[in-house]
Amino acid sequence: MHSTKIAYVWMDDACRILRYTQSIETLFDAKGIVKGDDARELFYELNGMEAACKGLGELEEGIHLEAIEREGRYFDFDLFKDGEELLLTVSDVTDTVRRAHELLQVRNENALLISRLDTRNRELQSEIDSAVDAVRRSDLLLMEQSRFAMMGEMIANIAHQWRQPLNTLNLLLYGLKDAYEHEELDQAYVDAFYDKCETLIMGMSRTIDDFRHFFEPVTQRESFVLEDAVRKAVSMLSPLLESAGVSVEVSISADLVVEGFESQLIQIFLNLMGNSLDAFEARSETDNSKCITFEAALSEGSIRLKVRDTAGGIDEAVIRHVFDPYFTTKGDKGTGLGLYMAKVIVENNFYGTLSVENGSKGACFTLSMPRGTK
Amino acid sequence: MFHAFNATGNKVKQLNVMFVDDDAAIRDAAVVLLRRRVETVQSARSVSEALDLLGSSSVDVVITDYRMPGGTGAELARAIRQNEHAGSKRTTIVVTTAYRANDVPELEDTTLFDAVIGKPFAPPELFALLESVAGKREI
Repeated sequence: MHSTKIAYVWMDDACRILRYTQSIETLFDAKGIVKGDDARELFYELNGMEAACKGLGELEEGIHLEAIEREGRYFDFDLFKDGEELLLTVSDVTDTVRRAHELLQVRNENALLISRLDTRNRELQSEIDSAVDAVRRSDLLLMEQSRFAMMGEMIANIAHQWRQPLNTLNLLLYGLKDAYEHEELDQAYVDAFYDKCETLIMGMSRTIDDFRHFFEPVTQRESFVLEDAVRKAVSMLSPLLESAGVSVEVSISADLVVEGFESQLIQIFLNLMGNSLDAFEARSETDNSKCITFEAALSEGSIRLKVRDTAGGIDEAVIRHVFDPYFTTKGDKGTGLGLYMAKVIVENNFYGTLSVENGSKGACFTLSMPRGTK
Repeated sequence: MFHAFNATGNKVKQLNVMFVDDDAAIRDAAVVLLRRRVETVQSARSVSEALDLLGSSSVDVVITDYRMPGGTGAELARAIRQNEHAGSKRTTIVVTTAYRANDVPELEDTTLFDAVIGKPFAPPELFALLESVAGKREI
């Protein structure tokens, strides 16, 4: 084991050895060094010693030469001017180098770990991204599903709304033939007949317009009057509301404007009113004051729209689940998507909130959203 | 055949018919057609109006819409059936509806309704029904 760590060699300016400390023999295991030996031969690995000797000049601080490795040990060289002579100090820096190597190795291992962590992080991030993507896709899918369900309901609505005028038209047409057979057909009959038919057909055409607007794909956010959206939804359901004996009261200031997609808000109102209609129908007792109210107020720049009915409210045991996807109290007749999508639409596209509570006579949904500008 | 038809026709003429529908256009159009065939035709736009009229007159056939504000055709039928005493003449109740029976199971209740006619309905279908009621009736 080399316990000595440093040795000194004095040389002339031609790198010939003048004298040295014994420790050089121990360090380099070099026996029989003779004065006048060329130091360049002794330290053959050391490049640039000659140049260093010449370039040393009058420097006091000396020159640090590159380290060498011999038989697994590392040596460091410094060259100084010592009067007329040159002094070469040789230090065994094996331990330091090994420690440095160890440190380097640790550092490399750390770097490897960090790079692995980094890779794992990236993998996790990409897993998160694809999970978020999947959620988004499933939300889109739900949105599509609920839109289809709503379309189905709307088509059923149109069909139902058309049956009545179609029935009347059928009766009127038969009446025309019947009047002819009974010899009651005259100009006045035909005029009245035509007016009645025209009124019915225009009404059917209006139904189509209402629903067509609803189904038009909207890609641009728009500003619209809240009261208009409510009235459109009420108009679309009016035959059902009327035949169920449900009155609708709208108390919304005409200057309240919201930003988003009008047809989506109409979809929410149709859904809320549809649920109220189902709730009214499910009640056995005869109720002569069936009512749905839409009431909006402005609070701190936010619109707060309350939609209430008098259908008795939602069972307290399930009220906190009504916004859960696929939750329904209607068995096979419900998809469990209506209120879930309503909440998603309010939060994502109207930057608002949708909540529910039971009032004194029935359910009360509160829709809060920022006021828009026209 | 002609005489046989006329005989039934006369029987139809003597029926007391009530037409109940909240839609005024349907009510008016149907009443015009019915009046050409039946002498006594009354019309009502709601369950309560129908029950008021029924309280003061005897009716053989009630043709009622199913869904109306203030009460359904089934509620009207139930009220009529409750007033029918054992041995008394059973009122023929025909329900007209835009619903299908699997949407509204009540429509299939034969203790309430004698016939269900889907909307839109062809008037001859209704007249055939009246003839069959009149044919069975002892006048």
